[in-house]
Amino acid sequence: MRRAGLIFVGPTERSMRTLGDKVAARRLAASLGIPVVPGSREPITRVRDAASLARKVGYPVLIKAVGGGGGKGMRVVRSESDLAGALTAARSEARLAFGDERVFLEKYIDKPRHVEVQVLSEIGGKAVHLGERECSIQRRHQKVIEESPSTAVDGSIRAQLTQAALKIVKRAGYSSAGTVEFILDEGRHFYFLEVNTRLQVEHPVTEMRTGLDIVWEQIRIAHGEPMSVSQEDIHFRGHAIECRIYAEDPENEYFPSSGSIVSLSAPGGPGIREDRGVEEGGQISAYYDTMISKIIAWGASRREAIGRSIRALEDYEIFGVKTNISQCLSILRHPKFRAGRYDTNFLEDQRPMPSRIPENALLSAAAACILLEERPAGDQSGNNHEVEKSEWSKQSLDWMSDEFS
Amino acid sequence: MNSRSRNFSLSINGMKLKLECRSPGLLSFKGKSFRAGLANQKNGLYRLKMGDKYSNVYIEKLKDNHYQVWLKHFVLQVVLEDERDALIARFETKTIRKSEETIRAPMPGIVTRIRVVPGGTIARGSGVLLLEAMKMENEIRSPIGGKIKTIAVKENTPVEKGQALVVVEPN
Repeated sequence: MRRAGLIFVGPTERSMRTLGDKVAARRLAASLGIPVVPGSREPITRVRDAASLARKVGYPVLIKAVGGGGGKGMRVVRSESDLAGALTAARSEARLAFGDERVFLEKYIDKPRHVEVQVLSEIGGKAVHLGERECSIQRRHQKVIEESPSTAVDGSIRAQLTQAALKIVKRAGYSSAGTVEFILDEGRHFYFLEVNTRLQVEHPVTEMRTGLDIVWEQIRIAHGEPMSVSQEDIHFRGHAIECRIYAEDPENEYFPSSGSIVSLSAPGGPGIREDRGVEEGGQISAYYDTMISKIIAWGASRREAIGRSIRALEDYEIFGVKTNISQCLSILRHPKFRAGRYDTNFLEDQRPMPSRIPENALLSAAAACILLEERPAGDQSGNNHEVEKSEWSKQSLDWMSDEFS
Repeated sequence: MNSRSRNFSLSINGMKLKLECRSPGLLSFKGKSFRAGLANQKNGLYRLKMGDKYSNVYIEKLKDNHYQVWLKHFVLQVVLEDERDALIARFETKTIRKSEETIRAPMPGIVTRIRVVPGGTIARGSGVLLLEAMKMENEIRSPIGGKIKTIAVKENTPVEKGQALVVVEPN
């Protein structure tokens, strides 16, 4: 790449090899005295080896892809009878997704909370942390909602996590932006999980809290320049939450929803940022990831950030593909989420009910169908004697008011 | 009630609603009347006016009186019945029991594994095959219990959205 006159914006190949390989990263963390989840140090291929290791660490166990990410190639196994099948499935999924079928096995922590630390480090070894993010709201091991700060950590755990993260990236000679992932068990013991040697989907959460532009810092670092900040310049303000909008149907086992986006109008307003990869008229294909957009809300308090997220999601208009917006709203309104008491099993355990459809929305849908039915035969223009085009920009429906009831 | 007046009963995502259409553009709900209008924008997209408020809707007519209505982030399944027509229909039709259920692909993908055999029995909710889409394996389940009548696909072959996969005869 250098010979071609190009600069790669990201970590060096060597540090990516060390940290991107989960087995190698675990070994490094353990050598620095950072707790790791008990499990295999080497990839596992034979069922017999998997079974003896699983007996040693105790069920349930987790099978994970060595080159993995995004929950692909991952299986929880609760008893020995399910082990062989899960191993085969995980290997084939890993091969499909990453072209690498190696998997390893570790003890599965029940009711875990996923907390990660964002780091930035420059060539030469100077590194800073940008605080933590909690990403415990997941479906199929993929994140749905992330927030910062985490409600699971206090000042003392935060200090331990951020110091551990910095130790790892410094030892690996890492440069650029990266994320060190941990899981916390019910007793708030933390274990190192893996390092994501890239810019993550949820990085805006950190940008909203710190005011830093992580991508800009990555470009500076790649250019050989110092970062624009030192640790003491980094201040954390308020609370930020990201909701990932997936084209899928949460009420039907998260089946991907493909099709074309007939209409799209994204929300805005104070403290709202939207990052999106699709446009009106665009096609959602069955061959790519289902994430289409992210809504990030900042608030002075967690309560305000939740409130702004809810208002933004309620305002989101998307026609043509099903999305998980209703599910995100149900989560944000759930008492356990609001109390900050949740773990990575939240969606499976709580199965938050779809939010009530406001009567206004029901009535609008009813009226629209009746008007369509009542339309004189052959009239293609719709029953538009009531609607003047010049009036269309007027105030839109107030969704939560129940003025018709 | 004038002669133009029609009473509609609707089911929207399973919720029941009754509306009266008094004259074109004049609707009534729970005894309260309001003006409503629908202006076609393009291909199923409409601007809906309710009272003095506006919103966008996207309406897909699925069959006869079944509609799928998109509004904000909601996807609403609407069944619209004219009460007079429904009354007549009730006298005319007898209940016909569905003789078989065709399980269709909910999205395009590749059938990676078929879990059933022709003639085999299947319980409601258990998996009939694995469909790989968006790099994930999705379990396709049978909505009814019964006997496998036909398997219309082969392993490792691509299928289109809506394509018939397996036909089940109810118990």
